[in-house]
This record gives sequence, C-alpha cells and structure tokens, in this order.
Amino acid sequence: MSETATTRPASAQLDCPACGSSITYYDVEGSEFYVCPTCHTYFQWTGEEKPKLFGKYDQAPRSGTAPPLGAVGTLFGRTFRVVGVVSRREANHAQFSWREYQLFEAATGQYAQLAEFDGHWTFIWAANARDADRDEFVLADFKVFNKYQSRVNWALGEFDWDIELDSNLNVTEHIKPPYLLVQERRGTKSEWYRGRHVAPAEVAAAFGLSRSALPSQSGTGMVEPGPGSTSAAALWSLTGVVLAALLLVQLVLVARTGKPLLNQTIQVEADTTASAPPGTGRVLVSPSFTLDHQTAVEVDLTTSLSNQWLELPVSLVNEQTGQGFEFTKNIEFYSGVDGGEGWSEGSRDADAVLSRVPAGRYHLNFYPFTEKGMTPEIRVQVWADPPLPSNFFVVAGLVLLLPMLQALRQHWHERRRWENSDYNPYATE
Amino acid sequence: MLANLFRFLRPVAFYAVLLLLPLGWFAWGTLTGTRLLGDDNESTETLGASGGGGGGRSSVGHARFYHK
Repeated sequence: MSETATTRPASAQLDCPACGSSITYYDVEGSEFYVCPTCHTYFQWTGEEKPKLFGKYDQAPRSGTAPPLGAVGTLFGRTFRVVGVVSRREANHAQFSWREYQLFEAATGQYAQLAEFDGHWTFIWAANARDADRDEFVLADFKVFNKYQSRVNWALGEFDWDIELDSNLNVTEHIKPPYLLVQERRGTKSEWYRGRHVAPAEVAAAFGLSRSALPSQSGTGMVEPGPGSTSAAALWSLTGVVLAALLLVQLVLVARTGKPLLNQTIQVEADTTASAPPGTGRVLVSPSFTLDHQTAVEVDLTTSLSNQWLELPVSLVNEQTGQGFEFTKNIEFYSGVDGGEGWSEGSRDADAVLSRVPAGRYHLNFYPFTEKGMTPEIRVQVWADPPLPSNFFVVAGLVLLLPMLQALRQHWHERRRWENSDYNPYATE
Repeated sequence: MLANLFRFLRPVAFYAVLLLLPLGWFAWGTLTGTRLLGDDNESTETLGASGGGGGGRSSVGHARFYHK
C-alpha cells in the first residue's frame, strides 16, 4: 500500500506481454506491476521500458472475485475502486490464507485495503500523523494477536509495488476490537497501518453485491466486535442504576422494621391425658396481637433445645374471621465433644414467613411434640412488614440475567477469537 | 443532561422496558406483603380453617417427626 495524490486519467489500457489480452488499469500514474486477469502472468511495466515478466499465478481463480476487479464501492463515505486482489498465506502456517483487496480512491490517489479471512472483513489504511482518530489507536491499548511473514498464493489486477517483496516483511498485528494496528518491518524500517472491522453486509452494500456472493463466515474474526459490545456500556450502566435503586428500596424496607407485634416466651408442657402419645405437648396459645394492614408476617422461634428435637406445628388464627395460616417447623440441636473437639449439629432457631396476611386480630396456636419428658422453652417473636430479602435477591438476579448472559457470550466470543492466535491468553499450555 | 442520558440508553431501550417486569413484580411483592418465591403457609383452605380460641389441630401436611 502506498499513497500518491495527483490528478490523472480515470483509466488506461495495456496489452498483456504474455497473451496479448487488453488490460484496463486505473492508477494510471502509480501502477507498475500487473497480473493479467486472463493468463495470470505477473509482470512489471513502467510505460517506457519493455515489460519484465516474473511468472504466472496458476492458482488465481478463473471465476473472478467478490467484490470483482474494477468494482466501485463506497466505504466510510469514500469511493473506492477494487484495482487488485492478492491471496496470501502465512509462511509458517500455510493453512492460514487470506485475501487482500486493493482499493484505489481516484479522487485523492490514496489506497486502502479490504482484507478477508474466513469471511471476516477488515478495512485497512496507512497510518497518518494527521488522522483524526488517533485516540482510538494508542498502541498501549492493543494486544499482540499475530506475528508472521507472508507468501503470495496468487494475485490479480494492478499494483504500485512489487507484491512479492512483501515476503521480506515481518508483520505484527495488534488488536483492540473492532480496531487493528499493523506494523510492517523491513530491516530497521517500520511502517504502521490502521484497520477496523467491517461487517459483510457493509461490504456487500458498498459494492452492490448480495450477501451470499461473499465468502461464508466461520469462526470469529480477528477484530470482530463481540455480541452486544456496542451497547455493553449502556447495558451495565442501566443495570447498575437499577440495582442501586433496588438496594436503596431494600435498605429502606430493612430500616422501617419496628418492634415485634408479639414477643413471648412459652414453655412446652407434657400432655398427660391418657389418649395422647408419649412426647405430645399441651396446645399452647399466645396472647393476641393486632395487624393494622395486610402484610407479610414473620414468625421467629428460638428454643432452648439441647441434644433433642422438637416438632412444632403452628397456626396463626384470625380471631374475627377464623382465617388460618399454618406451618410446621422441625427443630433439632445436638452438640458435644468428640476427640477433644467440640461439635454441634442443627440449630435452635427457626423462622417462617406468611404472605398477604389480612389486617385483623390474631393469635398463635402451638402443637408441640418432642421427646418424652422434655419441656423446652420457645421464644416467639412475630414481625409485621419483614424486609423479605429473598424478594430482593430474586429480582436482582432477574435484573442481572441479561447482562450476565451477554458477558458470557462476550467471553466465549473472545475465546473463539484467540483460537487463531499464537498469543492466546486462554491457552492452557 | 436528560437528553444525553436517553441518547446513551437508546441502544438498551428495549431492555429498559423489559426491566419494568421484575421491578413491577418486586413492587407488587412489597406492597401486598408477598414473598415472591412462596411462603411457609401450609394451609390449603385459609378461610374458616380453624375457629378462634383453642382451635383444632389441622390435619393438613403435618407428618410426625421422629428422631433417632
């Protein structure tokens, strides 16, 4: 790639020195090297001397390329013509092969390039100190993706430099998707190129092609942006704001919890009637309390159990309507010393939440059942408007669902991207 | 400032609307006193389940618990 800027004829023609076919070329003043589209002979012609023939690219496709030679298209607001195509491969990894479409901007005489690998396209241009987008291309922000030397598979069209001399170039590609920085070193001389991802649909639209005319995609492109990457900042910002608001509301709910409606300690008493099975306790009834609005009710139970168990069915009964809410708690607590080390199992505490309990006057009925002869104490606390932390966590989880899925997709996208790199940060060896 | 915020959030406008569903669910749970994942109530018939005062023991869902 190079830059020239002069006014020139739109095109000119020359005859192939090998087969005599007429060749149309467009960079009339700049081009010196040509590959005949008919016989694929690579030759140099300066316009003054006898053409110098270098050989033939037998692998060049006879069916043309997409976009084809001579096609005109508009990319990033600039009108280019495809004047040359080079297929290259990595010198040390011949399986990695790509195409470079030389784009000539007649209005300025400047060149750019469209590179295609596995159906992924990158628009590349020579770096210029006057470029307005320099902030996007700070080398420190980029990661080395690949280092290689290239070999030419085949070429078609016209060029203003000897494409075979590129075999001496040491190329280093740095990426910061969707941006690319390419360093080409020849000895001590170094040139830089910038690039950015182009979607196949953009390429097809630019050159008036159908999407199916372009190579099908496989894998992840070197600078292909991840799914949802353009909206990731907005997505996480919105999620953060919503979670902060949710947390604030939850903290208010925690702070507004007042005194318990009931705070009572009861003692289990054995039911000594003949019909009661051993271990059955008498039915215990709590003092009444009033709920002044419909709300959730939390019942906290703290027992004095020690190496024993207690089954405790509880009924919350509305004294005016008879409406009943029921739950059962199985509480057990064991502890001891084994081999000099203390251990414990189970818990002395239990709690229950009852939803949408209507306003009214209530009391609790307890139906204890425990080991025969045991009469543990139970401290009972009843709370209205409990903060229901599970509600917060469920909704926070739902809010985080989509961002987490997007993050996961991004992660797998990045892993696939780096599979083609010798500098894969996800490689295990 | 508000215009900038809306412009910034435009790419996720659909998601912002979608978020109203879980937030609305949370608000409904808070206002009605509902634990969203279900509560501990085992009563299948709430009205008239047991009369005021002493009440009888419910036969619903109470398995005897025996330990070792």
